[in-house]
Amino acid sequence: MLEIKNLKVNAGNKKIIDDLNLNINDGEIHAIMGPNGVGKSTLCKVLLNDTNYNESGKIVYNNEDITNLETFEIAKKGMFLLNQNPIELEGITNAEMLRTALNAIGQKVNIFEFSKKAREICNELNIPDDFLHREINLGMSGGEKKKNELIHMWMLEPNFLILDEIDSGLDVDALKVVSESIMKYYEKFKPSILIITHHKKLLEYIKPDYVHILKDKTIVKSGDYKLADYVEENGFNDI
Amino acid sequence: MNILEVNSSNLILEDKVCKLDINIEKLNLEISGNVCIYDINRCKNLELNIIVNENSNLTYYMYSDNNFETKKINIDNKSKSKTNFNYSFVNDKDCKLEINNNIFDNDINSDIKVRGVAKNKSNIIIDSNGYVKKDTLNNEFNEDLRGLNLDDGIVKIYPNMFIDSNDVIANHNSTIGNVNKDYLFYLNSKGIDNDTSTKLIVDGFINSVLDDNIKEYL
Repeated sequence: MLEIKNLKVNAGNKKIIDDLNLNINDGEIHAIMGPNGVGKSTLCKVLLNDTNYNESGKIVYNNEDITNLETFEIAKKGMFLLNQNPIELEGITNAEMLRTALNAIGQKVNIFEFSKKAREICNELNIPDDFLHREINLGMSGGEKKKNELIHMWMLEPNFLILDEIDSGLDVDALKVVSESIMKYYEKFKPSILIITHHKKLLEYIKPDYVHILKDKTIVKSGDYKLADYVEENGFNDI
Repeated sequence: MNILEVNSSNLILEDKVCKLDINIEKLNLEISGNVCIYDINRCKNLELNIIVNENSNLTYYMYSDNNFETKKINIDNKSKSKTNFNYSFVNDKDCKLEINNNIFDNDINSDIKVRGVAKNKSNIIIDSNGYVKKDTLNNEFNEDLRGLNLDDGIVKIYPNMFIDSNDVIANHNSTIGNVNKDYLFYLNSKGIDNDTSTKLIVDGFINSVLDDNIKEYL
């Protein structure tokens, strides 16, 4: 379970989030919607303690205060961020990074099992097997980058997914493949999921239990899926 | 792969893939045909004069981590030749790398890529000079020079292009920086600690201009 209590976030002198509270129980899917520039992506990074931001308040994950843990320590507890624009890392292959990450979380890597699992995931995502040996996200299209990050998700098996506008830059087919892979992962491992999005389309594939509107630096309204329908029809101005 | 121990100052290579073990401070190297060289370079000081003959192709991968002091690499590209020169190094101590790339003929394609890592407050100078002679035709020259500063050292890059011809495509790209915080955050967010992430980033920086065959020796 994730509990965010009275979260305030500043970047330099600028206040981005003010007094935000949110509880996400195990296995629940929550969506946060909101207009551009209200701090949705910032919230994602703050959950993993990005040092570019100053925050106060408390973030508790599985009854442990993780507010001041380092990013890698939070990730080792099972949090996984799938970014809207994953960065490209020259000279480091997916395989190299994943083997290092698996070792870091204490999993013994059997090369044969590792390769077999990675191949199966690539087939599932309809991407070539050699993705594993390509440099991380380098020279990949937007859709390929998202699929590449999904390889990481499946290999690392996190129990809390943060999906930061993963629908951006995806065509309809790629969005379907990416969403179906996430839902398949959800059905298998029942992680909690926090979705950040502007649009309802993604939520048609990954249906949330709760929808929240982030506006004016905090959550101003919460509801069920119908709230996403309302936003789609009326925009954020009336909320 | 052949390992060539180089103990004399003149070497001619023709249609060869080989690993060089250079044990001298001055080497004149002449290239004919298709040649690929892997060089884990242990020279403290080196003057390397390379002639890439007409219609010849040279791919050169050089790596060093032995704290060299000075290296001067002169490349003479002859007509219709193609050169890819790639050099990655890590230095704990001050050093100077000078590369002079001469394009005095026509139909030449020449790429220079350098990755330099400064550790332990070392000062690194990368001085790269490309000369394209007047009235030469249809040449392409690319220079990609990057420095990574791991602490409080100084990295200086001089990307000079002296171009006297109108018929040339010339590009240069020079960057100097510290370990990118976004890269660190990304790797941290996969559960990898700071030291290991930094090592991955530095290795990635070095490896980005090397191929798998030389990486096996590192």
